[in-house]
Amino acid sequence: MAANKLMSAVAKLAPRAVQGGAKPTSMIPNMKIGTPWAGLKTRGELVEAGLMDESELSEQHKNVFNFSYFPEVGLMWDDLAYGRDPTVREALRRLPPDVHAARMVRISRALLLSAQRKVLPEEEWTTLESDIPYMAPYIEQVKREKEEMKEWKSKD
Amino acid sequence: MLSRRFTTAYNLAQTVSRDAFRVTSVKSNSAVSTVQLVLPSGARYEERDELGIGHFIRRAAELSNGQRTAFANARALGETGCSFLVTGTREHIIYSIDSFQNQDSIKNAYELLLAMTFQPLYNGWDLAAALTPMQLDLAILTHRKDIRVIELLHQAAYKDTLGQSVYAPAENFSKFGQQMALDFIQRTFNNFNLVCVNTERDLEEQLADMTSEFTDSGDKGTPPKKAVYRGGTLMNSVVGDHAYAAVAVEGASIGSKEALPLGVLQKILYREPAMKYTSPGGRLPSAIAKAVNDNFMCGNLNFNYSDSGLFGFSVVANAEDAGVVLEAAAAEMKSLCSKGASSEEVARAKASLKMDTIIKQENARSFATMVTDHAENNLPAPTLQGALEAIDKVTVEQVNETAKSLLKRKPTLAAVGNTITVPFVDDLF
Repeated sequence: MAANKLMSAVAKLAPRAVQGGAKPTSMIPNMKIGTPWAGLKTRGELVEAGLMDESELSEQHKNVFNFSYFPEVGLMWDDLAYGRDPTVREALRRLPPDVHAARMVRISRALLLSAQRKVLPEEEWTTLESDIPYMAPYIEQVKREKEEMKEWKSKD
Repeated sequence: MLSRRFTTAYNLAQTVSRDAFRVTSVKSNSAVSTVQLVLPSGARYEERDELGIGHFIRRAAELSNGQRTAFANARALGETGCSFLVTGTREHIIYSIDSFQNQDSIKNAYELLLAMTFQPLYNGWDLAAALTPMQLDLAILTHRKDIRVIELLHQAAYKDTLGQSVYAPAENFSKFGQQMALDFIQRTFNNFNLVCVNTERDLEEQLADMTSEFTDSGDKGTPPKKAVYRGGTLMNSVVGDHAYAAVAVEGASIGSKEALPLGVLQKILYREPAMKYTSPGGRLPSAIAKAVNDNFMCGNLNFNYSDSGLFGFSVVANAEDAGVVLEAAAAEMKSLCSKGASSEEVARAKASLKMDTIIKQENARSFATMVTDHAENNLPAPTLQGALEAIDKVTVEQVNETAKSLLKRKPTLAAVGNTITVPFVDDLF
């Protein structure tokens, strides 16, 4: 009897992965991908506002999101940037603390889901429009600084 | 023996008032031109929860600003050939550039200076680059008991306002950041002085125009808190062989009629040795030598701020002798104040004070500081001739009268080091 109760409790807590059409029952609080930081716009909004080129919403980009695994575990495109590249490493260092924390939560969630062989419910998958390119300004800044340094060093 | 150079008359300062700042310019015989932005944002204007933010701002001045990254800034500054310095006092933060009288280089460097002063970014990832030199400053300070005793003296005398130290307390390091620094700047970087020494007139106009683009029209802001002298004893006990102590009473503010008599009195108490390996002059060294066999050092103190000042002496002695040394020094000062000084002493002190004045104005930077003090306190511009004449006019009666009034003032004592024999100030006088 006690074993049955335990088993049912466990079953409630850890639902098996299901195909499309499942209710959102993930245990981890559902972090809305656009928040908590203010001012960062999704890719869709950026293209609408004219800050990003139309080509960012092209077919090729869409295919990446449709056929990859990372959107299914709730990652954004910029979450895949790993610190091997020195530019990326410097940009990661410059992320504001809340952006960095949200990135780490998403990565931890994805690692957990991957270990459990699960995915998020389809409503929570990242799409091309809801992706936020949060690393772009910092990578630009770091690249500009490296060029500047090269320019000055060439003068020596 | 004054060489002819020093006795030429200087051009009087021209002061131009703009909305948000005052431009003051002077000429001196120095070959170096200095341009200084003197901002009324010293340690006394820090709120209690942001103590030390001035230290952070001074150290973060060279980091990335709105116009350039730190690297580009450093290289550009090097290209102009000017030297750059940020200084902090209790009343001001001073951003200055020195140049070898080349007007173009001054103009280029000034552009960089304006960006560093008025458009700092204080990026989160740059914080470590500012905090590390601050840690070095504090580490050096542990070995500089002479500086620490002066900071402690001010703290004992004023507690807040002028008592706040220019060095940040170590426990506040985690608080410093972009928001706090920008708030402080917004509040205090108004009504500042642009001081130009040895620059040409049209360059000054250009510099003033450039500055107007970086600042908006003067927000007068809240009037500063007046410094209240409190007095008392503060001791910082540290393992060691020596005690560094400083004793002071409330002195003269800049421009008060007591300022010059106290300057003369300062030199009666103690005169620095004029040559190496000679003994110092004044009353204190001989009085203390009579009381103690071992080595000691003493000095005079005369700080002048815009609304208050400190006047007194400092001593360094072995731990066992410190009490005796202080009592001898205090007794000598009391005797000087009650009985007065002789006319020869006053004459010798006046000569020493005049020499000090001449030496101070040789350095373009300290001269610029003098100019700013005068400008901020609505005094006529300093000229060397005027200063020397004013010192000459001080009479023996004025000096003795001022000395007598010191007896009634509440004293302060600060001691750093091995303070086992240092008496409390109430027991001293």
